Amino acid sequence: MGPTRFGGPPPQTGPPRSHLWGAHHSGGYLLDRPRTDQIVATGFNRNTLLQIEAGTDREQYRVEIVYDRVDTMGTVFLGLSVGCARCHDHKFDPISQREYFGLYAFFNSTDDWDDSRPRFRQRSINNLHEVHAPLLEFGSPDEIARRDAIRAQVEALEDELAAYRRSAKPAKDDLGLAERQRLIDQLVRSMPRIDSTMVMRELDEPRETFLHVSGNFLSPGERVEPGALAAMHPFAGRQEPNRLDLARWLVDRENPLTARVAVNRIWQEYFGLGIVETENDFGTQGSAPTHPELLDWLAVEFMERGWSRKAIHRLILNSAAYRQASRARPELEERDPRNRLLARQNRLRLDAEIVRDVGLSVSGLLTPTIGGPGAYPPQPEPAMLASQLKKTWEPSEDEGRYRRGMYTFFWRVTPHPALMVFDRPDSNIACTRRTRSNTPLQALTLLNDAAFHEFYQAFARRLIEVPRDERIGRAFEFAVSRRPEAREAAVIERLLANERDALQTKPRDARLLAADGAEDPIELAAWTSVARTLMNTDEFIVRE
Amino acid sequence: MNLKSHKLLARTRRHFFRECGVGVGRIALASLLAESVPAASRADASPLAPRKPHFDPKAKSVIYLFMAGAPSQLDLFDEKPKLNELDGQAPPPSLMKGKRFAFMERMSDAKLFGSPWKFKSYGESGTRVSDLLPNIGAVVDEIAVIKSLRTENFNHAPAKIFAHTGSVIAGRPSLGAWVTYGLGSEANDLPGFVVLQSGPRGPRNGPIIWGSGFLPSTYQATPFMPGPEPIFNLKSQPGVTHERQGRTLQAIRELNEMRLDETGDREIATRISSYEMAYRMQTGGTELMDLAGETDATLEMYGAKPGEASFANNCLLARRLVERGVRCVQLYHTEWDHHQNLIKGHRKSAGEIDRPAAALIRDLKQRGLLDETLVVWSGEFGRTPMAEGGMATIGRNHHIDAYTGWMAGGGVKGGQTVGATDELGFHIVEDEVHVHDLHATILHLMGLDHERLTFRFQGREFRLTDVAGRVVEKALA
Repeated sequence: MGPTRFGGPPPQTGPPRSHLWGAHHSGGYLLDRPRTDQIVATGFNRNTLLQIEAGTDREQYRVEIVYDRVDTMGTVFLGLSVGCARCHDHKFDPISQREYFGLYAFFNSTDDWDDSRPRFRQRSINNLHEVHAPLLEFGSPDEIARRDAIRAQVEALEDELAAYRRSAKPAKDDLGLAERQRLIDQLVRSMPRIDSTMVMRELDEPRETFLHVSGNFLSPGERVEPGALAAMHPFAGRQEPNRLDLARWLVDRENPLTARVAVNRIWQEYFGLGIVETENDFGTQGSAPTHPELLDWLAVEFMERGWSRKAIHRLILNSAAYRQASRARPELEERDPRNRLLARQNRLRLDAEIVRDVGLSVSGLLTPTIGGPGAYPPQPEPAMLASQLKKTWEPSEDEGRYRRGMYTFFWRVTPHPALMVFDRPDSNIACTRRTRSNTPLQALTLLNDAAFHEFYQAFARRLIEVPRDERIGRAFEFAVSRRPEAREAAVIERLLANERDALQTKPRDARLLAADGAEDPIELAAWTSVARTLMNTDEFIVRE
Repeated sequence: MNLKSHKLLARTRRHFFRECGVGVGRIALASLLAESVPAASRADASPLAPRKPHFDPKAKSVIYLFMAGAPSQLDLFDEKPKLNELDGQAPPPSLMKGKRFAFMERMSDAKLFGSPWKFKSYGESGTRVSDLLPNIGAVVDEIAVIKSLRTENFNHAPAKIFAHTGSVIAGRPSLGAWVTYGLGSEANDLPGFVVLQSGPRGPRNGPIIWGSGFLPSTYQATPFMPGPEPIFNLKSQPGVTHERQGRTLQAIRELNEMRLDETGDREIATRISSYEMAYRMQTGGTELMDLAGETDATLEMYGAKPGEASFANNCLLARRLVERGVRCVQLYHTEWDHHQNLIKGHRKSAGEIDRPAAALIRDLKQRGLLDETLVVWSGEFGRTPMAEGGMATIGRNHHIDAYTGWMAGGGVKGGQTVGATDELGFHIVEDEVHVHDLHATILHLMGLDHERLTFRFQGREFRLTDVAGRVVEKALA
């Protein structure tokens, strides 16, 4: 869970303006006439980790991918640790190993990179598209045809080159080699770039599923048909049920878990913990709900409002429980030290992306654009060094520099440091609750990071526009949405005075701090220090 | 938040004055600006505060020298006269039957490949070490060589993830994260878990292998970069002088204290201590990287040159880190993956690590630190007794059934060999040490019981050693 975008343009309706690349079969979609956004949404299941290293046993990793999808479905939708039943019957919950493989069978017949497909190959152009297929591509038929033709030409030339190199030792100045290489480079440059995304498709011929004895895919046991969990509501599957039937079972009114698990996780976003604290374990080992009737009511509301997450967010945000103050109260300390009964709100450190968002918003730099490709805000230069493959990170100079944190491009191997330091999950396995750490590296990021420094400079420019005697009050209002207490204002007054003194003696520092050619660099620099101070307080990055 | 949820909770004003009044609240600016504050006086609010182990530890810190790409045990430690004798012949079919390899297609007519290097006996123990590692040979009486390591996956990426996290799938916490989660850190102005890299590129998977997985991110490693600014954002922005940073921090602190007073949220006390530590790190981190204070003799022993991003410098930095109380230091040396040109490649790589690794052991010993520092050396797997490629470019393939690593220092019985392989070095014939066993042993030496060091995630308790692992008693002093 993390920042979610609501609103924006409605999903595109009508036939998709997109093209499927590399489906190894004719059918594949489970809905009759899926909309583009529905197809794109299948990427949730598709974007598992791929192991493409040379020499890989592709079947082993396809199996791992299927496990991951089953476990993710169990955790995210059912709040059940179904993964425990992979090697043996579940020790606590009524999930047999056979049932685990019944769920596995639903996910076992999708079109993924397996032994029948080409290995990953790195030439002038790599064949990642063949590894990643099926892909939904967003290009005109012409563009796609042109791209495919160029790909074929390059491949043919590469084959010629390889054959040429094998046949004899060609002289260095051999025109055949050089000319072909030049042609390849030219073709690669002219290849149209087409946006694409990985999607789920069913194979025409389903794979057979066998139970893995002790969870080892090399030890197949009895054959298993797709099926749901017997301890729950009946599975109204057809003769040969598929993922669509499983999806219908998940959102069946009779399903006691899906809606509760979903609203519980939304609740957790706003109160720190869910009504059921073990948000990923609604089984017998999970914790009991603190407010069972509330959980039931929210779950029913969720279903009756058409499974609208937005409606549940609104419902919670308008509640009296949510709108309470979070101040600690001595009389509650002993009766409910963990505040599980919510006699008050909890203070919550903001999610990683939102730490950036509040900085952007308060400084006035925010680009509010919704959607579109990933953004590249500045990051410390060595951040990409951990990558095995050489990658670059060119900070956006346009509006992409100031977009919300959720749009920051995410490399799983070299994620943006400012996000990771504030506990953004690493996106390798499904995460249903973020940790909230509180560390010196967070302090270093907020104090010294170049991206945040820009926010402080911009906030100072914003403050300097405010009439002089209102500045401190307005600064607090902008930063933490309240007026300062007298003792707080006094801290800022003192800082300002000290800063002005210090900057008078070293005007060069003022010019460095104030960045833009200000009329009065000393005053602007002093306010930059104030901006930095306010935006480094605990309160600034906490939802109170 | 699992771990700390109880801390998110409210504290009353009364509480604040009672608890924090003597804890964080009264560590005056004087101490904020002082060079060092003893770890013990640090607010217990810090998630990195030192914690009690399960039992008396033998080692306080661990330095793991990771040889990324997988060195050849047959050319470094596991001498095989029989293999030399059968050089160029086909391996016995019984060895190859039913075996799966990476690059399977290249293994069908592979021939045995004797080591091009000679071995010598070293020290009182007489442990045999190849000519590629004369310096390590010279300290071999401190070392327990383990010739019977075994792992589960023959590709680099998953095997590295396995060697670090006990799982072939990314997303579990790394060894260093588990240790830091279990023990906190003694370091006062540095992170508790540090990664140092050298070589042409980062190891495969990057941060995944030193990440904290589902543990709070506090416990992930901080990769140090070469140069005066080893940590991201350690240096202040232009115009932010040391005094300005101090003044700003003082104001931040006062505002935070007022808010703590107002709300009673103890997380604010943690935030205050985090900022103090950050300020100390700005000095401590820069000071750490400055090798000017090291004697010429020390630099010479390691082969370190100030300013270089070398394995030698990193070994010296590792000593400086554990001296300062850092709990875990993980070094990476790339690159050992010599499918081809092993003779040239291994000579180069061994040449880069031999002297510094031996110097690290010597240096720790002469400073009295070896007793409390565990040093571990290994790759993610080993290499085959069979050759890959023709004579001109000869190399070795990946081998997971038997490979060699070593341990030295805190709690390890040096001058001995644990485990043995068959006469061709293909299979283990004595005392198998699975990666889970190695992990269990490292945790044990740090005072942690691998079966009790757990974290609840996705509805169940997780361990570094999954459902396996046993302590290698033979390796212990």
